[in-house]
Amino acid sequence: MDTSSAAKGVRIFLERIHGVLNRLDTSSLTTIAAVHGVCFGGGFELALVCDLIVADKMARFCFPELRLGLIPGFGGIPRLKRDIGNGVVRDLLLTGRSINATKGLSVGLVSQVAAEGEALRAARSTAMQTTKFDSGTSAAAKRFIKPLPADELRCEIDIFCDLFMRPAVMEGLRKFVENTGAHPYLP
Amino acid sequence: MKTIDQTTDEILDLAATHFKFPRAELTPSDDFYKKLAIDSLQALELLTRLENHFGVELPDYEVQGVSDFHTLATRIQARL
Repeated sequence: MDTSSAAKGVRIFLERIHGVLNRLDTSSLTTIAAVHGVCFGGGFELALVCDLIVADKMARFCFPELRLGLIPGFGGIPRLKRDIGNGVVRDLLLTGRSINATKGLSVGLVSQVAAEGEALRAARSTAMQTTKFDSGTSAAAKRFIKPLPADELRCEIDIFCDLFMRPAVMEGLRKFVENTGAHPYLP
Repeated sequence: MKTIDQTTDEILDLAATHFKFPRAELTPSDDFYKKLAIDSLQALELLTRLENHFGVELPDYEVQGVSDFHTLATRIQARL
């Protein structure tokens, strides 16, 4: 496949993913991510689409994409910026380190930390609470407080596509595939 | 303030409990990846359990390349 076709294919793929995630992000329903274990990369980006994140104490969050010569491409950076301080976003992106749920709670990423294995129960309890309000009112509040960062999301796709064509990506992918270490997500 | 030996003992206790390994067979100089036969996901689990237990934040890159319990203990000790 030539470079031009590959670039076009990547863009089409990203736009499809963004389309799905943007619809979830702007749903009139209140959405809650129940997270346990490793929530890295695309999984983290899916959680960030939701209105609330309830994590059990064994959850970990990470954007490891830079080790592949890429940035998160499914809307992770604009959505993370929407939720937490820019300094923490820079820390996660530029170091590629993972943080646990307790740290996530302290920086405002996670709404609640549940005991191990209890995230789904806690999320359902929270969901039940949100159903007590008029749905139209909740939807209006959500539209007001959680605007879709549309311009930044489009910009993220452009940056991802530019980076994808660089040799560093193939080198990063090769290293990841060949890595037999205990931390393959770290450079 | 815990001593390094106390920290090491607690790590060994935690590893034995979580990975269901006989505590008496774990020593500070053991390679925990080989001894416990853990993979990268389990290594992350161990990191999380250690952070939760000691109430510290331990960046993954500080334990990258660390494979024995004693060295792991020194990394944690530096955060207490």
